[in-house]
Amino acid sequence: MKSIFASVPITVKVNSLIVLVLVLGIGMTTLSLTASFSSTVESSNREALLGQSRSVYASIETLMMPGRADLATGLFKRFSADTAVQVAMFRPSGEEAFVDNSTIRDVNTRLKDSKFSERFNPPMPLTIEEQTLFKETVAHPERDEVFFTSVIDGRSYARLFKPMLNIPKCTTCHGPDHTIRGILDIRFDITRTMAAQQQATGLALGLFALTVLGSGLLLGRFMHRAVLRPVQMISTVCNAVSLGDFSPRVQLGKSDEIGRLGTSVNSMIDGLVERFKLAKYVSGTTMEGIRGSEESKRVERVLLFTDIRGFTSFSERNPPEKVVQALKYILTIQTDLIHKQGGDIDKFVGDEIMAIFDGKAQVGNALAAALAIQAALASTSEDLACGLRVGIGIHCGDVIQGMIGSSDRADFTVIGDNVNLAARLCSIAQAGEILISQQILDSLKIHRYPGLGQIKVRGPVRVQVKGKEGLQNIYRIRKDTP
Amino acid sequence: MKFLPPLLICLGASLLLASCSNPRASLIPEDYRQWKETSSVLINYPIPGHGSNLRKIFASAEAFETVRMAGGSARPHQYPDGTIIVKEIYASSEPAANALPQILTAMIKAESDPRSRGGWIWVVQTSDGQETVMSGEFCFTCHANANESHPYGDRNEAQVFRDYVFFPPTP
Repeated sequence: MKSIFASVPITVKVNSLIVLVLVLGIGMTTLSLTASFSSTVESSNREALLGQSRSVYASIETLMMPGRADLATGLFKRFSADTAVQVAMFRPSGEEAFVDNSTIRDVNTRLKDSKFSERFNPPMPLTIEEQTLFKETVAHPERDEVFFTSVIDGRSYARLFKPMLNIPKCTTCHGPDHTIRGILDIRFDITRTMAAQQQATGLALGLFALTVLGSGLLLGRFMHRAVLRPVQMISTVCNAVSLGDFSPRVQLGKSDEIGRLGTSVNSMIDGLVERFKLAKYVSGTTMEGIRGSEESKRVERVLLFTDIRGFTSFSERNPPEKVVQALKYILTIQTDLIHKQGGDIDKFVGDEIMAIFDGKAQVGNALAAALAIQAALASTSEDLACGLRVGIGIHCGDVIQGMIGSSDRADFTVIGDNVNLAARLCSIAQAGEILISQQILDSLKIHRYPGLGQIKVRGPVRVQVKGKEGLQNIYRIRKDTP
Repeated sequence: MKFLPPLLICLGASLLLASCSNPRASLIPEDYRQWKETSSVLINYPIPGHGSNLRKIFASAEAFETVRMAGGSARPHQYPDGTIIVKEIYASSEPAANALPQILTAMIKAESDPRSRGGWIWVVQTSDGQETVMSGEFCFTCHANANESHPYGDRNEAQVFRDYVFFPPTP
């Protein structure tokens, strides 16, 4: 579950979060406001209805007491003219009050006097739902009133059934055998209010939708521009760098946190480029030394020195461009062939190369490189190498490897007598010659190195080497061509 | 989900405690029958709300004392806080001698109580012990007529304020 969530793009996450927060926050606010508005309107309607009912109740009571039922009916006639607030009265049986003369007759009988004259009004029936509520009101006079809403001829009404109690003073005319004299039906036209309410709700919802949409878009756009797009740009550049393309840089043009990240990434790439370029100028041994602990140690290595014969006089006789071109060509060939055999260029000194070979096949690799170099230069065309050739010296033995120099500026290289011997061999070697030491020959004899092919060995020649006592055996080797 | 059983126990305990801390004490005292009846007339004639069921009305001592204090003051029937008048309503107009009332109604004087209407708390207790404080117009509207002329007893032709009591207890 966690991993699924983690792999959802950040753009989707951010946008979803924005929408969620907006919908929840603004939505809840809108909902609660709309709900409280509706309930306020409803309770205010009820209060109005109740107030109205109390006034009418009091009016009827007052009119009836002196026995002026005719005034009460007149009151209702006037009420019926007002369509906004309708008042009707019903007998407990459900018939509309004042519609016929049955009550008048009852009263006259009780009073034993034809006090009230008869008259007639047209009836107003109740719907089925209204009848149910009516019966409920009649059955439970202790509940005081029943509120409901109804729709009549397309208009909405807030309505109230209020029981009128047969209080003791009414019994004189109306008799004591019933508790409810009648039901007041008061209705309040709320069509406009409801329409306004619906409009307000619609408006609120519309505004809510617009706000969510607008805010969502704005926030999304902002997030995209401020965060997501810059992150993508940085990611693209880093991807290119990891694939070896150091050319792109992050261009954000801002100075906030993301801008600073972009600048840092650019500096980092510059650093990488520098290092990448620097690697060209630094030997493999140095790189390893940096990666490792830069400590000094005694190791066994094969040392290969090459030197271009007659280069000094060549450089004096030829224009600089030709000299540099020839030098570049010859050094490049040698570098490639040495690297191909797993050798490490320790340093270039003018037209000289110092290379180190290590590992199990170090001698074989060095010999292979030397032979390849001589073969390559021998077959190179005149215009490329200008007829120049190298002399090569190879020796193996213990050397001291370490950081030679001061702590601020040093070479991570090898030193020792064996280094000197290899260099001496190189200086003796003629153009196209490969001179090897006794130790190299011994190794060649033991291991054979079949990959080298047939090799012709000439020597030994005994030479004096600076720093070493006694004469050293030197051998010349050459590829044996049939 | 781990929290559910302890949560339920806590909820149950708090509900139990809540109901225990508010015991529904009856507002109508159990010994009201030892009080004097307010009227010597047999009250079983028909009236709205009671039909012709027999009614017996008992009033606490304060009610009688109030009347004794009457005579010349503007509101002779202003009952003091704590006055209780209990009306028994029987199931028929002539119940058996040992019959119990079907409904008990009571007026308890408490001027500043938020449940009071006209200064009285109107209580109805049904035979199963269920007690309700009437918050609507029902009892009150009829009894308000006691302060005007009405068809019962001495009819209050002078429309004297009688603090909602139709038959003011006479000592």
